Amino acid sequence: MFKFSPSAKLARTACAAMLLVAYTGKEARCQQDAERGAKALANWLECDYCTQNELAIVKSYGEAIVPGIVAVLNEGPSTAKHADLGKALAERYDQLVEQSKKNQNAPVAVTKEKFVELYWVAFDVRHRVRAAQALAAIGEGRARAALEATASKADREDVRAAAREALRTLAR
Amino acid sequence: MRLSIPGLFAIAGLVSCPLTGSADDELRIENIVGDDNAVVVMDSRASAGGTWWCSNDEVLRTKGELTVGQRDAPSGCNSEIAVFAKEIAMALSFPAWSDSDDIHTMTMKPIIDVPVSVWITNASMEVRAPLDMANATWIYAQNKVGVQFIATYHLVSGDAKAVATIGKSCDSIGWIRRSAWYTPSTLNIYYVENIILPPELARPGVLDVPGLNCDRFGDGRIKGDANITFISGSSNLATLAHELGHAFGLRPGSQGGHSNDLRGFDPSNVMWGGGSPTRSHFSLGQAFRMNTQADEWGGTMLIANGLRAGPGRTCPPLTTSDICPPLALDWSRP
Repeated sequence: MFKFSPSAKLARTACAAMLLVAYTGKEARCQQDAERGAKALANWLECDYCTQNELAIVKSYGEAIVPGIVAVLNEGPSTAKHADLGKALAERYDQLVEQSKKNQNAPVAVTKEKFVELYWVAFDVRHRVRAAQALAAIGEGRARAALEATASKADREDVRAAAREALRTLAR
Repeated sequence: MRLSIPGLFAIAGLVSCPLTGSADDELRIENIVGDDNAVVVMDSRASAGGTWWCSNDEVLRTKGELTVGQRDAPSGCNSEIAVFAKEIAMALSFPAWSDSDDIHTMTMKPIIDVPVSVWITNASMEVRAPLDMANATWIYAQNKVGVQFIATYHLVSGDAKAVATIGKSCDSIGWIRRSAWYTPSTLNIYYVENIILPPELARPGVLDVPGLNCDRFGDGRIKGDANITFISGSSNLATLAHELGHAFGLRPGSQGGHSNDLRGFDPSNVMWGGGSPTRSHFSLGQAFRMNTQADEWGGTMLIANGLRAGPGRTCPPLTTSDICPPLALDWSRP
């Protein structure tokens, strides 16, 4: 009768393989969590009416997501996003100028640089304000410190005001 | 054997025309601008090879003359043609195809000038408002919706009474409509610092929204007014175009007015709630509804404001039927 009796060497190999699988599995899960967290944060930063519980989902990541939010609060959207949006806005400006040559009801009275800056700043501020609101919702120690720094040092008054409002929310 | 020239023509005629004698019907569209490739959406009773069927939402393209195959008397099928083209109004026609050869001609009318009164209570948006409007006109032109916006701008940020009356949300609409800062039967856009969401849309922690059309949101006495739209300081380049979509009947947001996560849509769609400031796409199903919508909130303001002839048609965004094309129905660009 056939009997399965693994050798000690085979058992050790299997065990090592299982440990490796467990380790890499944990790594993969960690990676997946980070990706999900980044996606959840992006959803919150970009939603208009936010009807899908975007803020609650960000909050569910707790302090693990705070460094990412603080980065947005301090630095705004990523460099890649800045470049992509800047290019898209410049293209749209050209299209609007072309339109304005044929349609006097659709004038474009600013330079391309001003146009890109106007809409980039709006995008940047929106992200930072939403980051402040997310930190207020999470309310962890590092979140408060980041908000306090922003409330006093941010370049723009609207961002400072959002940080102050977030701190008031934390105090309640 | 030698054939004369008339003999050759006779043989060619026999080859190209089936012996049944049935030939193709034709659609002629007049007044297309330049060499625009107009978009035709056609419902009809079609037939070929001795069988027939109700053909709905066929998307065709033409620069003026289009052979459409054999179209028969409707006999229970919807018979309708919608044409979308550059710089002209969307046209609807109900052809009476017969069982013999027909030519159906449609004469397109000029693009619809949509007057818009813009009231700016947030002075920091004074430069942006005309750019938002130019972008909206560009988006609606790219998607052949058939409208262009003719705006009049009023800077009222220095008038405390105006700022107080206009307020920050749809609960002001009664005051607004009784004031001098409202043009009746016209789209009114209010640029404000920030918008307070109506209770129906409020979410914990959501303190700012970029835009709000008051189509379904009132002050407790007035049910709503789709001619009133708020645009906030947190808006982006696409926000105005998006809110005008709601004014034209793409509503409610939660039932297809917003295209988020609907099959056939992506964040490039103007009605996607959020996403890129340069989003610029409307589907054909959306363009159709913006021209024709009838609903309990006044339907499209194009008809309500007398810019298009009614009656409208009840096609909620998520409803598809023989008279309502699927919301995601689209055409290949350009």
